[in-house]
Amino acid sequence: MHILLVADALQSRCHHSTVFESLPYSTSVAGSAEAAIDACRATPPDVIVVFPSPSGDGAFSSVSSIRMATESHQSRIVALCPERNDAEEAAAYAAGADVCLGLAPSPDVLKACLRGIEISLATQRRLQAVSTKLELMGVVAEEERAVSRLLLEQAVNHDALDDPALSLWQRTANGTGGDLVLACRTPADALHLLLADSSVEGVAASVRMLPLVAPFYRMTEKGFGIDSIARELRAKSSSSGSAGRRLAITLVSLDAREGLVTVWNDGNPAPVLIGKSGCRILQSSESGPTVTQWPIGDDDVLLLVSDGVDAAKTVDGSSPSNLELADALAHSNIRGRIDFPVAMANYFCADVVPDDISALLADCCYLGSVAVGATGQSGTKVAGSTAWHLVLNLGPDEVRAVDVVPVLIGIVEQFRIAGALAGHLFLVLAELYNNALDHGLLGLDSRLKLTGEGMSVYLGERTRRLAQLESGRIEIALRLEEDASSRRLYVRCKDSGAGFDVNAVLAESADVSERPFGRGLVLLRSICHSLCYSDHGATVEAGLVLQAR
Amino acid sequence: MHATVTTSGGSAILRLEGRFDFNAHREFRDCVDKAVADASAREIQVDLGGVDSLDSSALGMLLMTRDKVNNAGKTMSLANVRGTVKQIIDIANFGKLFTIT
Repeated sequence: MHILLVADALQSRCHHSTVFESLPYSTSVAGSAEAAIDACRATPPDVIVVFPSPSGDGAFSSVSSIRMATESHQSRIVALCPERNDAEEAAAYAAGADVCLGLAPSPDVLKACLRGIEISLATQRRLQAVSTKLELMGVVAEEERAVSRLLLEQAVNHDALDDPALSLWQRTANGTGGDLVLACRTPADALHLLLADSSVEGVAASVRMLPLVAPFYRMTEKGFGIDSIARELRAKSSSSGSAGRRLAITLVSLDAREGLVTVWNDGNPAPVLIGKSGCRILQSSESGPTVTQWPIGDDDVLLLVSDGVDAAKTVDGSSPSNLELADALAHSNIRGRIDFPVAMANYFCADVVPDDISALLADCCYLGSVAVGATGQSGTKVAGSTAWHLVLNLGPDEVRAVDVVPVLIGIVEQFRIAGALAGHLFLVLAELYNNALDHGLLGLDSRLKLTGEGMSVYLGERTRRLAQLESGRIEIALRLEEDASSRRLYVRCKDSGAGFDVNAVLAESADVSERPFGRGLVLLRSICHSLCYSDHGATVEAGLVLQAR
Repeated sequence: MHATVTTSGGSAILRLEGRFDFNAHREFRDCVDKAVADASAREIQVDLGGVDSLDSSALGMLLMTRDKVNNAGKTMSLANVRGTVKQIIDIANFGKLFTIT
């Protein structure tokens, strides 16, 4: 500990510097308050002992000025009071002194006082160190949370989670998010879902769950079944985690066309099918996780939840099971992407939950929306195998840079399949893609074409909006399927726009008359063997029979 | 798409080749304007024989062209309509709106 003596008078300096030098502390002397302040700025002392000024003016003015100048240094100021009465002591403390002693304290008193200050300073410094360490740990923890969020964020296909059949609600216990939710469609358009729950948090959770992501997407996109994907994921999770700390995984395949849901569940609450006849837990009676298959009916929805639901409280203080939650949703007639998150937020209590909760609601009737077929049949029956599958996912830069329709036609022509139907293929691709771009992303109104130089006005506005486009996506997918009877090419186009009223446009197209727009839908319906709109018109799939065998 | 216009015996013939969609608008319009401005041409014939594919925007352009041509006191017809182009023209009921030869 270092002590700075502030003494005006030579006598005071000599006497007390001798006394202080006998103590086990280093000392230095300043002849005035100003000199003391300079010394403090150079090397902040631990203790400043201020002698009274012999001039008598402002007895503790030195204390006051030194205190003001050294506030941030946390030095202790000991004021030596000539009279040592209450008034003097009060004045000394008011001036900023920490301790007040008589002008000539005994060596024992001085020693005890300084020892007390030394202990106090040491304690303060230890507390400061702990506080700094805790702050650093908080920073590290926050960075760890940010890293874990980033790792999973970049791995997850969020566009797939934005599937119109799905509605997702999540609450995290500490901002990290130990649950993983993935969605992906197979080439045959079945919807695969994965819900994984890690018992650990932060980077450790991300490390355990990351190995699941690529196999799930890759195998789904290649058309693997749930059983194969489950075997692969369980092998991955066993190799990445420590024994006894298993990941809970639920895998679901929702095939709306075939009317079946396939479930594999290991560790999570069982999925619940919510339908007109009530709620049904999709769980095998066999021990251990197995793949089971269940029929789905009209208006059915599927609920998947992580076990965070078990620990959470509802607004009435109860802890619901997955079945009770499903029952509550069924009675609330919750459907769709907007109702579900609102209902979940209102159902559970407050914003703080003891464990991460993930709840996913899947509409089993997703493909039951508007379906227009040239033959009057609704929907599309998929039969046979997928020969190949191509997907382009385009953002603003891509739609500006790439003339997509000729590119796709060029690719299809490489397979030598279009033949005499090349013109039909062009029409389908052009109508689907240009509608998605012009109306879905650019928000153009075809009525611009009604003016004198209508097409020029329309195309000018198109060029302007395309140049300024900053957001939005178009996904266009081609899929060739073939079986013993025919080869069929399916073109699916999905845009991120608001969609349109398909039925209204169809009704209008019956009386297009001499308008320079509005014929596209009629043309498509006439030449395609199937035409399905969904997602309020933002998604469309057209099927062309290329070859009847 | 490639578009050319020739005039013969009071008829301006617009020959189109390739894919006919909105990308062809400028070239198509320039040829139409040239044909409309030709005082010797009383009729404008759009020859679609070289068109291998078209979409609904092309149908719209044909209709707008018809209005422009009629406003200029001339007549318009479509020629050499065959294959997929004919199928699309038929679906759009253009036979009621155009003379098709």
